[in-house]
Amino acid sequence: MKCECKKTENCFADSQSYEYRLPLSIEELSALLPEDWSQRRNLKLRRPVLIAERGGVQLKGVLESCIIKASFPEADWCAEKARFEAWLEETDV
Amino acid sequence: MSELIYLNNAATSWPKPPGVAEAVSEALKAPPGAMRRGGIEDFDVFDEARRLIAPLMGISRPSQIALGPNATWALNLAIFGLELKAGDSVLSTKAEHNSVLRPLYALEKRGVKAVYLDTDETGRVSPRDWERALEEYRPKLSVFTHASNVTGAANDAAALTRAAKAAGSLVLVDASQTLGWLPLEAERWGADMLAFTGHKYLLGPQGTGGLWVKEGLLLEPRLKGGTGIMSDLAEMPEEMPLRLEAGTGNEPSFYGLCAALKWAAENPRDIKRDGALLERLTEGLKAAGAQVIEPVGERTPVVSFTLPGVSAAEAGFMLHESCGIVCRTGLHCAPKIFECLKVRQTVRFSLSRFTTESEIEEAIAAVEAVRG
Repeated sequence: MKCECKKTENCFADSQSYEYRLPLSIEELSALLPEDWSQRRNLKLRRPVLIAERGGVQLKGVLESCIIKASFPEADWCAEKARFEAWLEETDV
Repeated sequence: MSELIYLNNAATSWPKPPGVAEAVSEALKAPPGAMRRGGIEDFDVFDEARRLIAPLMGISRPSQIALGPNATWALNLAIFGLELKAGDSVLSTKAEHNSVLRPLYALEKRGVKAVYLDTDETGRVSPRDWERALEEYRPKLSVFTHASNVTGAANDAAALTRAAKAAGSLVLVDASQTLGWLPLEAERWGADMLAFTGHKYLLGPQGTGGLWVKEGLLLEPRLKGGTGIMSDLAEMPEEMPLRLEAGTGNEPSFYGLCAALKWAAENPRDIKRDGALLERLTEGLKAAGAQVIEPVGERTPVVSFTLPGVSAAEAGFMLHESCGIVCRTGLHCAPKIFECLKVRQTVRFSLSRFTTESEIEEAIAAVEAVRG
């Protein structure tokens, strides 16, 4: 899938954060994520969210939205970002 | 339910008082103020801003206030303007914002010794520890924030300044978090410099700030350039505020700041109401399971907290994206204070005089929902 990506501001130590605008909702993305991603949902919120994690990479998104926020671990953020983006690129929607 | 609840006033205040946006807009439509080169009949918005701000700072000579874009500009001007040398010492605190820390790190690279004093677990500096450090390090400059931007705890500026002056140190107070919210008395305290911003509790537009410098203290200007007068001189004039105000100022934003200052003068803060809201927020967050940092005594309208089992990044994301609550999470550009607070990061709600009871209740309910 083709995505738009933008670096986002954050005020945390050891964190590189980016937002991706996807051609599908986060609810739909959730179904496509490989099994090695752990997934949590908070459905009590006004706009329920998904939080998915794998090896220090964390994805956060509102289920009905098409924007996902990705945080990559400082130590290897470049490689992890490339890996995530490769997966997005290879995934057909 | 509100679409947007703005609880990030310690970063930038919003909304602005009535008349501020209009004042900025009118200034942009009107011919520039310097058109007639400051004649006796000309209105000078910068002088008007100085005149309105001076009583809030507790200073008697408005012309000693140099106006610029923000407090970071002012703090850099002060810290580097003293031209400290290798072997000199600076005493500061772990509660400082990066706008103080990073200039000090730069001085350390030049051989200046910088000492960062611990705070207590609420972000406040102990005057006794401060006195001991002054005795030990005999700093040329002492710089401290009047209140922590992370916890809201206000320091005893009078005591810290008095002690530093008694130890022969110059004193720079960072009032970014307090001017417009707490009363300041820079001259009575005995301070030498005080940095401030216009876009937080003064309720003005971004792009406004300044540095007050005690009469007789001559800083080396970081920026050199046009001053409109004394143009034949090779050096910046000694006269304040020209010495520190090279270049054209941000006239429209200072028009907005003046409008905010006049509005605030006509609409004094309801201290009792603001205190009650802060207390309700604190108690509500605790009841929702949050661990709240609770400074005792004088403070700003900042409430910092953590949620067991939910990282600050996750909490901030859910509060903002799911609940429409604008807040700040993480280190708040003040990384050293976390060595003293015993937490790695926080979620911060910061109120303004426009925050309502219903917004507080919605924020508490949102935190309950975030905990799941």
